[in-house]
Amino acid sequence: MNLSLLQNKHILLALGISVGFLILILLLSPHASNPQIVPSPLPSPFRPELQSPSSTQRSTVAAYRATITDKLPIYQDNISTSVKLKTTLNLYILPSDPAETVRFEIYGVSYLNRDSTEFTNPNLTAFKETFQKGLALLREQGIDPTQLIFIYGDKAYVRETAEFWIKNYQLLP
Amino acid sequence: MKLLRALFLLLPLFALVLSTPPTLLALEPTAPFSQEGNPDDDYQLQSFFPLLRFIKPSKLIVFENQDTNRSYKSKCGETRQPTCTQTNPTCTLTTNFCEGGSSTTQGECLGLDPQDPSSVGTCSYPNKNPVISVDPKGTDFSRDSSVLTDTPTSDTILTYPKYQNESLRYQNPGTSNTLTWGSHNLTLSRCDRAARQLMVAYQAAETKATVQKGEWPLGWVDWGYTTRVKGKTLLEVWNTVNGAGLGGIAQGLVAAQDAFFLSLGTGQTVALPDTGALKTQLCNRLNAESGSNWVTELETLPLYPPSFRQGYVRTSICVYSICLPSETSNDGQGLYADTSIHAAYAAAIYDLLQNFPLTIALDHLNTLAKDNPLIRFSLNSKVAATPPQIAKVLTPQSKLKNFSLSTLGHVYDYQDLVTEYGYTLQPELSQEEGGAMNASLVSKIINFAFGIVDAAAPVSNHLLTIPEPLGQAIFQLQQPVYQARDPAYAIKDNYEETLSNVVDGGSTLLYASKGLGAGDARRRLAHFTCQEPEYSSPQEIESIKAYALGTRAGCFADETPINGQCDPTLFAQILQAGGYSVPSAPLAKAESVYAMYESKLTPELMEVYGVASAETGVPCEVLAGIHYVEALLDPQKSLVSGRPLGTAEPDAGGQVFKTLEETAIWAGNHLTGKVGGKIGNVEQLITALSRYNGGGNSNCQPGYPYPIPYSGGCPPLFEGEDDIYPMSWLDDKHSSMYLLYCDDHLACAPTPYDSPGAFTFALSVYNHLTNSQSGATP
Repeated sequence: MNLSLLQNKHILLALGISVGFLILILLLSPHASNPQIVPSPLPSPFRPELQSPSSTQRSTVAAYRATITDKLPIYQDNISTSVKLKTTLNLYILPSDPAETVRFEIYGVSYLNRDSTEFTNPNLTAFKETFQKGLALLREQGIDPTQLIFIYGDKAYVRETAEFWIKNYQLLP
Repeated sequence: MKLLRALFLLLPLFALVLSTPPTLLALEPTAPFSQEGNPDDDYQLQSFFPLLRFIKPSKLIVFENQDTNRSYKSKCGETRQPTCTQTNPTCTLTTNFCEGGSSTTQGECLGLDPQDPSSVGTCSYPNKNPVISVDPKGTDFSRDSSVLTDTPTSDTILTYPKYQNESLRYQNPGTSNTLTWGSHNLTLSRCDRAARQLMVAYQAAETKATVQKGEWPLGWVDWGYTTRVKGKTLLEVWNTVNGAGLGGIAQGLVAAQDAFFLSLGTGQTVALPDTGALKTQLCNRLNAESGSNWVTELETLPLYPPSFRQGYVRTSICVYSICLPSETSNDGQGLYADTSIHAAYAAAIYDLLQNFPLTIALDHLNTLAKDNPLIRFSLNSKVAATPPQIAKVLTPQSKLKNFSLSTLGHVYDYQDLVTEYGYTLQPELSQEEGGAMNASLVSKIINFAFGIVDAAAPVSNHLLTIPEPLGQAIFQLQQPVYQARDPAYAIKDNYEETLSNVVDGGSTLLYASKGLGAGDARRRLAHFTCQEPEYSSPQEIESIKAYALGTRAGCFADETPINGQCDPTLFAQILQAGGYSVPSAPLAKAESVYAMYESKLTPELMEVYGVASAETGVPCEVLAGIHYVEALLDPQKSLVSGRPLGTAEPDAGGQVFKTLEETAIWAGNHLTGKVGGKIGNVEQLITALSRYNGGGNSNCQPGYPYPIPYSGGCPPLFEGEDDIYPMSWLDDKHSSMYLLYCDDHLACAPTPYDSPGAFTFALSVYNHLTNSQSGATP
């Protein structure tokens, strides 16, 4: 290349800008050519509560739940129990929950203590009384609890204990 | 700006690189250090520095700071003598500075034929980087009372050495007046001091034995180091104490230390070695033979191992925020002496273990050792810690496979400096040609690009410092302890009135730790705020100076932006809404833990909390608190339960989360769901946090089979107020809380819960966040 040409400032400017663009294109092209990454949907929640019912049953439950969502949440705190424990009842649905489930959460009792003797475990008594109150509140709202699948909490120990007590004392109709 | 960065990044593509091993000049070890007890420059550079390739690249510390200590004069021209003869072999380069004045540099006359008096040689000159006209100094700028002196005076004995020098603060032997003692001399018992001194002596001898086998160990101890009293070397003292039959105890203590360090970061269970029996044995001898030669000599030794270590520094040139190391040059780089790092490092580890709950301190050391496995060998003076042996055990980090100091010079500088100083951009060109490239299309393009930058960009001179292997870790070791002192916002109101060095239970501002005596509390309490140069320098522009002065710790980490997208407004609103009387800051021990983990609150992590906060309405500080309790802020572990990302979450119905953000959003949604959909005040927040965890460890718990020593008051003020999950270490009432269940459904005798709760940690995050945003330095 003729060196004198390179001493011309205009040519240099043009060259420089061209090369600048080329560099930019080189830099940007790998990003531009990448397909846009669409986050893959999360896998379906695998809830133990949903293992037993058949798909037909689940569809039925989901359909029923859809009809009662506007009646939730039901939140009642400061519930007095016979064992002097104050509890809170929280019946609600989270957007991320499966379509078939309703949260039936009772707070204010210790679920780590799974002792199933009411005589030694006041938590069980408080749970029972609050649970029955929750069922009553649902019915008051015209909701049939037998047509729903409940989630009793997030922590595994909460769910296990609640399910254990409910089963043991046949709290669900 | 992106274009500018792109051009700079691409510059290496346009030029070839030099990989000439640098020739460096460093200071010789000066008393009380010895030459024979420390490796020479070449060994430090060629054997110890390559060990840096074993440190994760993201964890390799390089300080790059504006150099305001040296003057970089603009050159307005220079005259070089191109040739030389036998009668006039002098080669002189005269530089005229634009500001006035000139300097001369002597070159070397090459190519003369001694047999031919008429032959003409060529003058060769050194590369012409900006000259570092002030030699890098060691860290011990202050007067050192450990230096041997016949007549100690007030000039050689400092009353409060901590203000001058970290090494002396740790181990200054002082005078008969204990106020002059370094803080570790004050707080350790005589027996504990002797144990440390015995280890120093043993490792000095062990170092020599290792070196005699051909290589230096990373934890070498200067065996020729001269003690202040009696002027004996470490080796001489070792001979005395070994002769007194203390070799077995020393060997046992050092072996325990070595085993402990070698277990760090390896996935093994880490436990502090039990050296109680050995120390008791030593203590008995010490008390029984007090006044004997070996006791007298042993007690003159430093508490922590001394050695003369060297870090690396080179010039760097910056345009805006882009800093590029300059070309290799004898003048532009050098080794700097770090005479206190070894002792400071060992003492910092002791401080860490002393100031934090053991599990947290060990967790911190483990994490550091995973990032920087050299820590495992750092205080080891056996053959196993020599560079060849270390290289057999560790795996180089892939991105640093070709790491060497010379490769750091493979970047190219600003054009006007290229012109000014004549950098050699093409290795085949001689320096006599001025270092300019032959005209070519490429060179024109480079010049043109630089020309654009030149029009507006200011150029500043920086120094690039690469701490040697121990210096790589000192910051992370010291910082949590330094930050454990009362922060500015905690002491701003009449702190002088409540400041006390008396352990009387009424002193609210005593240094937060376990086992530090009153004297130490006095020394390390916040007499100075972080804004004051006595305690901490503005690190962003003076860290080299601060490093040299030993003041580099202090408030450094607070300058790390942790705001990201995390907006403290939400948390502030909740605090203002009340519901519980929240203290202005959590308990000091909670603040200490926060200080330990603050460096993990990276901008990336804060951004995740910020995004989830915007999505769910839960304050980002609270999400940080949950993440701390669940996963100790590990970005690879979820906020749901602390399980690794990508694994099924039983607490979320078996759901698998791929990103931390998903778990943060899940946590936020579930937290608000627990209290009816909105968190309005502190009480609701605390209750929600307790319910988030199931409330299982609430300390007022009927039906629990053991008595619970919780003294915070039962029944609780509201649900969750007695739960460790949100409340632990928030205030005096929640200072002692208990873990009641060892596992799900398995009740155990109450165990003290040694960690802050989620709300407590969130409050720390909020305080530091708002404090840094308001410009104050905690």
